[in-house]
Amino acid sequence: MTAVEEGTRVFVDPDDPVFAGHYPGFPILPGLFVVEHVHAAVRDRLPGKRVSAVQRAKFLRPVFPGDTLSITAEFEDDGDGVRVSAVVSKDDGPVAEIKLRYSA
Amino acid sequence: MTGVAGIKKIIPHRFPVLLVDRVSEVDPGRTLVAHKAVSGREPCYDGLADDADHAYPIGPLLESWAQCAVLLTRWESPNPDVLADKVELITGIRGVSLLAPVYPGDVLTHHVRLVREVDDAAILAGHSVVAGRTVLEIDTFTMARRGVEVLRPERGVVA
Repeated sequence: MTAVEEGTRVFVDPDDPVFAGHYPGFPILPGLFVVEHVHAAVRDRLPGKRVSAVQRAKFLRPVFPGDTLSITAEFEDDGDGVRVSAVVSKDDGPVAEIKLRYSA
Repeated sequence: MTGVAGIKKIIPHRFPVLLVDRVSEVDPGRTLVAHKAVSGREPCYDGLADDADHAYPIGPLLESWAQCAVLLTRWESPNPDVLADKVELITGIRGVSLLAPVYPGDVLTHHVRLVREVDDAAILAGHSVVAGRTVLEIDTFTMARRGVEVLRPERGVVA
């Protein structure tokens, strides 16, 4: 089973408390919070499964408050789990490529 | 033993995303062991439905480990203010196993090992334990240092 979900959009809210501490005077979204956004975008498609691995993530460019992220994900059944390959982009190009695995 | 005040002298992360509470062991340039108590009062639980799963989200879980990685690489060259120095950015992560959920009340013990450090880049690996059980394994974590002037978006972030 392979399915592609196009373009879930996520607004990176400048009022998110994360920016007060990451970092004072230079707000930038922690790369690992981009992984969290991908997980949040796909988890409802995978009921009864938990994220069990981040097989690989590449962070290409930083994400700033006020950015809008577009998440495109491909789902592939691998027997006892599902592999999710996601590309996260801003208007001017990709910011991250993230591969997660979900299992029961 | 280094607590939050000492940690703030070494890395630039601040409330509410300073996700390390205490460093208990450090062998500079080699290994570090640090602890983080997960609390139900953290921002990730704000507004969460009462019957939702309260497992600690992977974002702050991995970020907490990553801050320990920054602590190890900055132990002998502290960077408490990114505007005065460079900023550590994650460039990649590989082979992360999430072995068991972590809940409020758990104390994470993060183990970090420096694999290689070259100029402004470093490779680290490690794992995290709760009450004797390994909950997280990280095969490869890579990060780079960049000057904030290089990163600042055109629309201008106010310093």
